[in-house]
Amino acid sequence: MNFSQWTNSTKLTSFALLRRLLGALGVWLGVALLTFAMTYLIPADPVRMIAGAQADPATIERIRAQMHLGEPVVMRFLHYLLGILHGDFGRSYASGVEVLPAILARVPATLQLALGAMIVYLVLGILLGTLSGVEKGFWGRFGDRLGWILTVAGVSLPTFWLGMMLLYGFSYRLSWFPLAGYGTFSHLVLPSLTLGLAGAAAYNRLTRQGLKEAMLQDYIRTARAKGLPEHQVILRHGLRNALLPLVTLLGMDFAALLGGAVLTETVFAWPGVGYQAMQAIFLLDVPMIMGTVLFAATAIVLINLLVDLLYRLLDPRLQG
Amino acid sequence: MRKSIASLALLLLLVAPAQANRGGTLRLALQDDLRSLDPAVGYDIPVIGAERLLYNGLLTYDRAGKLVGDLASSWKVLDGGKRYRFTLRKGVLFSDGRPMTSLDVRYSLERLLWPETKSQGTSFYEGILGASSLLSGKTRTLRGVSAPAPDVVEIRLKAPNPAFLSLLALPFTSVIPAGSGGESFGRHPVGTGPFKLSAWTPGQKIVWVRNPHYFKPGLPLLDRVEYHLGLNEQVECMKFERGELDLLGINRHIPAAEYVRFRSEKRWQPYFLEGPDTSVHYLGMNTEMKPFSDPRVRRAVAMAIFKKKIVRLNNGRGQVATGILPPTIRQGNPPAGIPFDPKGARELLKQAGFPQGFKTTYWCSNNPVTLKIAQSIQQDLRGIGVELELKPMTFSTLLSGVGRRRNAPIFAGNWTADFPDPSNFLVSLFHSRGIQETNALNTTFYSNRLVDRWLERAERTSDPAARWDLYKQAEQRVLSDLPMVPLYHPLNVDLRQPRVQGYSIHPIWPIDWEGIWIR
Repeated sequence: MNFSQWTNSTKLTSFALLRRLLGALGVWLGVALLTFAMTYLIPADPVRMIAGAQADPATIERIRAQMHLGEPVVMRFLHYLLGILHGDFGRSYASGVEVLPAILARVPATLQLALGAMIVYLVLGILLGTLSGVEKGFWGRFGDRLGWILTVAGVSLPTFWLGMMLLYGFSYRLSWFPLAGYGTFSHLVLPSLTLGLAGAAAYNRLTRQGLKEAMLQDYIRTARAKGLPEHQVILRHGLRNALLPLVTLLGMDFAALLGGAVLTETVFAWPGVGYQAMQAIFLLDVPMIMGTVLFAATAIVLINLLVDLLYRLLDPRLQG
Repeated sequence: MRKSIASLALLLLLVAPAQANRGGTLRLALQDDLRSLDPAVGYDIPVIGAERLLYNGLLTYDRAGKLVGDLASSWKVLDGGKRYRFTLRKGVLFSDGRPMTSLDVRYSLERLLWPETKSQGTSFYEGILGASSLLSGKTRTLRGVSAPAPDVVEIRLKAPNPAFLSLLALPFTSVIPAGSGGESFGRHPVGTGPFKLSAWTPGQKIVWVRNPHYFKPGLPLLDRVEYHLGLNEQVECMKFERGELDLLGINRHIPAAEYVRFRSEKRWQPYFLEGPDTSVHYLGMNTEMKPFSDPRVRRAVAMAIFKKKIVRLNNGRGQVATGILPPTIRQGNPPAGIPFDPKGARELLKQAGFPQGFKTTYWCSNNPVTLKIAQSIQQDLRGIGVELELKPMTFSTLLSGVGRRRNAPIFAGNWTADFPDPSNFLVSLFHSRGIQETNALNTTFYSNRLVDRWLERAERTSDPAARWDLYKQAEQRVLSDLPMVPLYHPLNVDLRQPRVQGYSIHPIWPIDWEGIWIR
């Protein structure tokens, strides 16, 4: 590549990046508007949640005025957006705490669970997917069967039920793990498994399919012709190419998990972003709902952007 | 000889009542984080229970449900009930070591009424002289409250209110140090209560430790109280069974399936505790909407509901309601109630012009117990030709829906006493001043001038017997007009670990911490 080719390619990449950034901003604004509209359209009154069942109408109206809920909805939305631009996500209606610090305080727990689930995705999904993708010998057949069971179970079992069963069996009956909670590695095992099993099914199928396709390519034949041992052919040439689409999926899943795994966090008393979001929804705590959704949207948009860039690096055909 | 002395000693040890130990930790579960520990703001059952750890007010209720002094050692009612003079206990300190004086009491009442506090309890204290100016933000000081001496507080009212002392026992008036407050107070509370907040990790755990400055000598007995957060009902029960929690049923009822299981196990039998709840669950009918504007239709509905079945659906944790007021508030015998008579109900419907019955929508919350009861009522009313379409929704949606005029024809309702006085039920639910276009408290939109007059007279009557007679008259009239069908008064059922001692169900508060100790 000469200098002019290089600058052209850089310009193209910068333009693509700018386009992606603008698109991401659009998505983010759209999510903000939709979430705000939804909380506005719900036929329930957040003031009733705060004032309680037995508050008289005068108290309800007084609190409504104090919360500026009497203002036109457009003005409220604009005020909200303006606040966000200044880093102010508002205060929770329910507890009065600042929304952004409250969400950020929950991020470490969610991050731990997301990483735990990712490990389960990768270990179970890729391992079994590789075994079943190769489909030779005992381990191939074993991996294929196990992968099939995992796929069916992962897709069919409701997370809530699976979590409760794991808790009942491994914590309540066998006492191998603590009965819900947060803090140590052993607290992390069952929630990660619960969350990871469902996701691992997709990774298993994707790896299996990708590997099967890759193993039919010319470069595999070449590698074999060069006399490489079969495990090296599979791992270095087959799997490496088969895993490329997984990068996108992994990025998207990780971003989604950062928004919180509501059901898993609820079952295991995991103090993450998802659990906080669920509490906010039950209480109609609009600033907290908005904050959590925007946090998740930001995570998804940013990580997708990152994955796009990474993908371009991994696959030179996409550059420019 | 030595052997027999040892046996005697062992026997004495077993027979003698256990000596209360000082020390130990009590562990409870909670589904969600507490909303706020600011007493002017937080007002739901778990929060009120936690506020009992941290604060005291001027008055409180003893274990018999009698109004007694808390921070006030004595009080006088003056000027025909328009002025109250409280003498405060001496030597009371806040948990941070500051002395509590009458200025703190005055400040706590003023702050409660400041607009920025956003308290939901303001309406209870509008009768204090000068309260309106504070509520509208015109002034910052409350004209009706003075602190003539460090241990004396005087409160003046616009008009006598026989229930005013009960209002001073509500958690809203808990005393906090003058000058404190603000948005963060709910997370960093300071009070005079038996415990102080030690740590609050959102979503995980709240820890309280004994307040070393607590004014009652030797109390509390516990060293520490822990709330384990985020636990759903099933996990809470599993943790309790494994001995990782000490009390069950405090912040929420024991779920039906687990309750049946615990009840059937012999080892838990001695550790169940029962106590009445000051609430009523009812079926409300909008008296402004057809066909419920016809009293005959309302009576037919009341006659068709088999209330005993409803109590059974709640695992027997309740008492059939024949009147509106719960047994804890009622003086004398309860009303006879309307007998279960589907045949008579069908006859009444025929007279009202509905020989084939009618179809309507029943609004209820999506809580599993409420839904089960709704299905039972649906089945009962089908027997007289009334077809109910159930409309389950979140509690806040239900509140907004039934509080809107001419919106919800028939609905599931419940009312829990803010304070144990008939006025809290009858005035709130049936006085026509509770009728509004939206957010009405009088959700049956019932209006009866006679009832209004009796209730207003009772509000001005200080003689307890005469006052009770007026409330009784009003209740009887409402029960004959039947804007609502009282269904049942719930029963609180708690379960404790054998090691938890000195615990009993308090008639008013969600929990009474002081006497609890760990064996």
